[in-house]
Amino acid sequence: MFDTVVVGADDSATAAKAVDAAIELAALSGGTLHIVTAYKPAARSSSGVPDEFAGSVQPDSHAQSLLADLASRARAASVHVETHAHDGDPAEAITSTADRVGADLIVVGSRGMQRRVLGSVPHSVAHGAGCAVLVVKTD
Amino acid sequence: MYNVIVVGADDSPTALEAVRQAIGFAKMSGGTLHFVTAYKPKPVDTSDMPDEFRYSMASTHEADVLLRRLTDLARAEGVDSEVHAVTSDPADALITVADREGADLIVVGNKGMKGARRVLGSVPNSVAHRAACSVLILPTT
Repeated sequence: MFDTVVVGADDSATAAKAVDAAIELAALSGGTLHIVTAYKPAARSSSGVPDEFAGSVQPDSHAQSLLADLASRARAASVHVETHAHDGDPAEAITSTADRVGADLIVVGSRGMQRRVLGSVPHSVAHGAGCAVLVVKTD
Repeated sequence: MYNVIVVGADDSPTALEAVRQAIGFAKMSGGTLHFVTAYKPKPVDTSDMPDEFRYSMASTHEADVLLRRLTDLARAEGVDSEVHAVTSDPADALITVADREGADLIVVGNKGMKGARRVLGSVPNSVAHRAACSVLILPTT
């Protein structure tokens, strides 16, 4: 039913629940899972960094290690997984990745839905998506 | 994983599309579907009706006909279902039945999520914000 599943993640407990739900669904439907995380670009103060280390100061290194952890969980459930790290807004990262990979399902955690604050990630994704959206109860 | 699945329905094409996809989902997850339809009770004047017809008059509501049809659709796919006709606002009806049945998923179509109605509060928007369980919003428009 769902061939291409996109899930947004950060290092929170609520995101971990959303990722677990996405892994279960991808396993059940035999689909590919795309795990997306957004990170803030680090302020580039390369002035104090010796030239030979400049290339190793990766603003997305935390994002990459998070994605590696989550991807290994998906692989443990025999789910085919791809990962995506984007700088910038999480909702934008999720919806643009979903558009690019042709997702038929986006999975997000519900944290932030109840408060109805403008700009919560699940709210923005639910309104901006062109495919099915599963809002996983995580709070 | 998703054993008790609540889905809202009326006789609109978008609702039937949500139902069709919900049946597919329930088939995949092995869950039971609970069809919920909200309706306004028609004022029926039974005062001048013979007693033996009052019951049959009350039981032929359109909502029952719709729900029977949905049950047949589910059964054709091998999915178990139950029906709930509720006299309330559609979002309230979904939340009420989901709470009562201990649902782990509510399925709604995305009608009203985009455009002018999103600021006024559509059914999927209201359900997504108020549900005590996970919510699957399906593209039906």
